[in-house]
Amino acid sequence: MNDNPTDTGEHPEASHALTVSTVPTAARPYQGQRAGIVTRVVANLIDVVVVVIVLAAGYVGWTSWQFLRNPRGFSFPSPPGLVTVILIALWIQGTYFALAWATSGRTYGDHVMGLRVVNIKGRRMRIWGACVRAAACVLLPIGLFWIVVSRSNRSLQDVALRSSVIYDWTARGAGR
Amino acid sequence: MCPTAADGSDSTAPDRPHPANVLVGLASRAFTWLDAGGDEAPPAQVPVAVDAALAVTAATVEGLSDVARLAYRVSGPVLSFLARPPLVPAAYQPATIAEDLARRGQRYRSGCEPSAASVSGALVRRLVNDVLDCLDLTAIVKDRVDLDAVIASVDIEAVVRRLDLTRLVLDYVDLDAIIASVDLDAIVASVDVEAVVRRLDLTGLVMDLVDLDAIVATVDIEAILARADVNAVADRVDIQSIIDRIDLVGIASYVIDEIDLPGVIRESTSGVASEAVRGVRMQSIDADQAVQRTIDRILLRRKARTTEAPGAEQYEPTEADVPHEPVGAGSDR
Repeated sequence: MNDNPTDTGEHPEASHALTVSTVPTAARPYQGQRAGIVTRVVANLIDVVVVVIVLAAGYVGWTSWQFLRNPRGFSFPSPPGLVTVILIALWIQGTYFALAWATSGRTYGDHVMGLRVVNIKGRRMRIWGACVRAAACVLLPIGLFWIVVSRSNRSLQDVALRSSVIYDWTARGAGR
Repeated sequence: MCPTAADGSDSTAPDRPHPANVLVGLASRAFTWLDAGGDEAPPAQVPVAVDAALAVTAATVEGLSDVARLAYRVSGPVLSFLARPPLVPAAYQPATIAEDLARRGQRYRSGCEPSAASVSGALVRRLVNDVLDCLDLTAIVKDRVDLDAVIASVDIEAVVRRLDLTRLVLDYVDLDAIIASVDLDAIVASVDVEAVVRRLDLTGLVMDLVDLDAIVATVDIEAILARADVNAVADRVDIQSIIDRIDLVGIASYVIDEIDLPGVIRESTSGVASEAVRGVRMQSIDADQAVQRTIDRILLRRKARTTEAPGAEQYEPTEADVPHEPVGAGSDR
């Protein structure tokens, strides 16, 4: 294609493409900064809801499978014990966190709240790093509240793994 | 008229008149002038007795000079011997003594010449003044000088070049009077003004000499526009031909490429869900800031938090993007 469609001379900015940010002006100064406690707690709550929905969906699916196998003798299966449910929920949450952080860098809660998890280089975490961080977050959720007193808005997991959770309202992240 | 050495009967220097001849000639002239009594009178006759006495005197002088020359020739070797006698030291020889005396006399004469020169100069000046008083120089010049030949030999052009004619004219010529006597109307009527104008570069003159900005500043553009029928002008413009010459598709493609419009659309549809989500995000950010400030105040922290994450420079906002202070980043709260 002709880069110079008008014959009046070269465009002064033709050497590099212009970038138009879709982030609202008010939010742009915060992009790339580590998120505070409120935003991250809200994101985690959303993720807990997601896990609960997944658990419920799993129960419904298992029940439906039982109904399809023996409609005449069907009765609602008794739910497993609370410890078992909690363990399953933690396993689901850990897997969900690890896959989300290693692929898109954000869970659904992060997506809603405009957050992204990055490594020490500001890039998406590798799979093993994401797995370790997910396990740490699931097993020691209280570590999140270290953000409140941290001078750099890091949780204990962030401090240990040198990761960061940043405000990033863009779709793919600046670091990709 | 003037006797020369050739005219004389005896002369030792052929190129110079003999002093005796000069004296005789001057005396004759003086007698003639004194006796004439005026320029117009005819020259007087010298008495015969005077000429006869002069002839006798001349013959006597010539004879004596011949005798003297003969005596000089005869006595020359003797005098030379006496002047340089042998066996006498050179310092005591008469010739040496005579030469010393001559040198002294020469020095004395040289010392006296300046005073004589001053006196002679004064005498000459007085004499010349007296002579000039007696003469009518103008008449003499008219009679004796060929003025035409003199003027013909003068380089008038060189003289003119050395003169400041402009200054002379301004000082000595009454230009106003001259101009007042000129019939300017007749002159102007005879001038072909059109030809003059055609030879002038009026555009260049106006560009160089006229302050167009000042002139335009005095023009009431609004009044002109109010009188102008802009619609009529627009009707006369062939906008379609202008549009046809513009590569609108090329411009549109260029703009889309430059601003990465597909990327913008992707970002705007997938990055931010809705205004409600944006509101929630902004409120949570504000809540984060409030919590941070409160905690830092409780912990008596003076330095602000360092919340900039690795790679944050990729999100660096431009100056126009900054509505208020960013989180942390070294700012004191």
